[in-house]
Amino acid sequence: MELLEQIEQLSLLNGPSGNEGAVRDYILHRLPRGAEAHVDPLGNLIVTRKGKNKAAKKVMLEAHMDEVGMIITHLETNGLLRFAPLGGISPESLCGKRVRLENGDTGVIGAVPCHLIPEEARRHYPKAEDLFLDIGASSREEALLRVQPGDTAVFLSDFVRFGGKIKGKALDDRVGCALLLTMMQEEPLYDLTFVFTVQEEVGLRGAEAAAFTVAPDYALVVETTTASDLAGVEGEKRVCELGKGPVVSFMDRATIYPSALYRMAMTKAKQEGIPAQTKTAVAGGNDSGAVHKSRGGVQTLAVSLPCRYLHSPACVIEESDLQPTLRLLRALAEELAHG
Amino acid sequence: MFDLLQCLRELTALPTPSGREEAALPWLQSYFSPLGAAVEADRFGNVLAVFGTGKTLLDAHIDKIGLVVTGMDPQGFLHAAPVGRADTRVLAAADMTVYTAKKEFFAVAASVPPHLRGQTVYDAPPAEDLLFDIGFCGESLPPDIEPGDRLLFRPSFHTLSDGVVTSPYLDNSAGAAVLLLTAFLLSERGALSDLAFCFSAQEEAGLRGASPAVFQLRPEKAFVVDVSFARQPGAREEHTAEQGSGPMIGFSPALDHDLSRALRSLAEEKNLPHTAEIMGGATGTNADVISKAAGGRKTALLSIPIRNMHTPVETVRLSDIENTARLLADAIERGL
Repeated sequence: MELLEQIEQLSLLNGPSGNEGAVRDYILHRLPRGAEAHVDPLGNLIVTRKGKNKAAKKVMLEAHMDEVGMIITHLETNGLLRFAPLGGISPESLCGKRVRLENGDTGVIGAVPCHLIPEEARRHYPKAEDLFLDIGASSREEALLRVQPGDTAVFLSDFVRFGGKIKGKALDDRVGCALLLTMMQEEPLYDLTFVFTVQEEVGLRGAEAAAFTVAPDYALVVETTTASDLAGVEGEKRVCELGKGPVVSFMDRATIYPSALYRMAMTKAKQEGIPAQTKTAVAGGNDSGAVHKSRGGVQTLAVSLPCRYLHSPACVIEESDLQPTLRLLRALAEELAHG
Repeated sequence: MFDLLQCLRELTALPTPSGREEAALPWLQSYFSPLGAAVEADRFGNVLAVFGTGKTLLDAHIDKIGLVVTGMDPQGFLHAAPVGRADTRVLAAADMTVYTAKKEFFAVAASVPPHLRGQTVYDAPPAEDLLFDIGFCGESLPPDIEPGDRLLFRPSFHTLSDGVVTSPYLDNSAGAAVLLLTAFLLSERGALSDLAFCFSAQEEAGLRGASPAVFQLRPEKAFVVDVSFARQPGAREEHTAEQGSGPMIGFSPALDHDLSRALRSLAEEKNLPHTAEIMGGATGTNADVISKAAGGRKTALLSIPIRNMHTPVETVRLSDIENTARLLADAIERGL
């Protein structure tokens, strides 16, 4: 299947942290021959893929299945739902957004009309704890027929291709899932392990368990990372840019990546003629934070697609970044497994 | 049969930003011409559907609050300014459509991240910092986008529960739907005569279209239909009405007190749910203008309670639209 079509399908699946079943099933249904799957107690999916040769070093490629979302905490007597964010959702991405509940129903996160609040309040985003989910129920009793506290929701957002870019929800990290799924279809030169993790957005929880089980020598974490390449933002504040290829990080808030590995990746990209860039800010974090501290330590590298408006209903990536990222991942996996 | 859901779906998706309401004419013509009305757009962009003398005016504004393109950046971002009272708190990551003379483009509302603006994550961007990501950059920039082109929230119509829907621009698609349903009810009763339906332009830009419309039509009496505030957390009880409680009958110095009272009595007589919306001064609707333009006339205001006004997730209860249309049709038939 075409990669873009797979990204679209994965983006439209609902898999908030702790509730990743739909994404896992999607991947499980597309395992090729020669792949052996195991689902661990947390819901991580671990796939070993036989290659043409036995690997000298065990290489784990991983991407997380979960997305940011909301969990219903309380039903008000007026039928509105209180919620807590699952994962780090910036206040600007909540108010006035549509969501899809676990049962398929639609809800909206309302905002008191700006006409009715003081001038000063119009300049601030409401905090999540002051917001409500409205599912069109007029009483708690009516709402209880459709939702229970503990039910989850995710952003409801169409998948749109525009001007060479893609907009959708959960591209963080369904794009990573789609890239690994694509790699998995090809028989690799050396054996590889593919891991699809749960609960990244709520503290890299799945990756900790999975990395212990897999016990790799090397890990390649396939992610999306914040691009601030907007009009009016200059220099290093742009962090990374769409259309300039995969992002190889030297450091973020959770991991200091081994210099030798970082340099090796940059050199490899240059040798192979693959466009690549680094992050010009020490910001964000990903499953590497858990993986690189696993057992006695794992040599870990994050390879990310630059993505605008991360953790919002409208993540935006560039189509032309996909193939270079795949090429770099293949090249790195092969070299590391070769030992 | 009148399909209210389909009517709302189409109205909310009509690209009628304030000042560029041209798309309203063909759509309204296809509805009103078969009913026997003379339908035309006036020089201001108001669409008028007139039956007979048109001495009673029914008004609902057809324009939508949006933004106007002020410039384009070579990196593929549009700069834009609000037209009317845009709420910058709900723009981030919203799906937008850019309407140009030739075609439409998709855009994502963006803004420079707060930490780069030297602000906290809770500070909404000032309007001048708004950006719209159209995905194109450098040499692939679309040549068709020009300053003056308009941005609206991308149509997104969903049912929340039986009888409750959400969409951008229920303000004032809900009011326009009331007028269409009223015309339908009156035509069924054979009482569609001497009425002027005005779908006015540029209400959101400052109640600008209503006065030229009244100058031309010279109605003796007017009923204005708009949306108002439904009860929701953070909004004061006296400013709002519960959704499902029927039309909000306006009482204000700008409105004719006897006409408002007559509407209330009629609603009681017909057993239609209703509430009163009391406003100390102006109503903030076209009624303020229509009541005093071209010599003035007795004017009433019926409002439909919606939540989250001026956001992409306005919500309305369909029964409120239906009951407003019933009351209005009864009022016309009774000759209030």
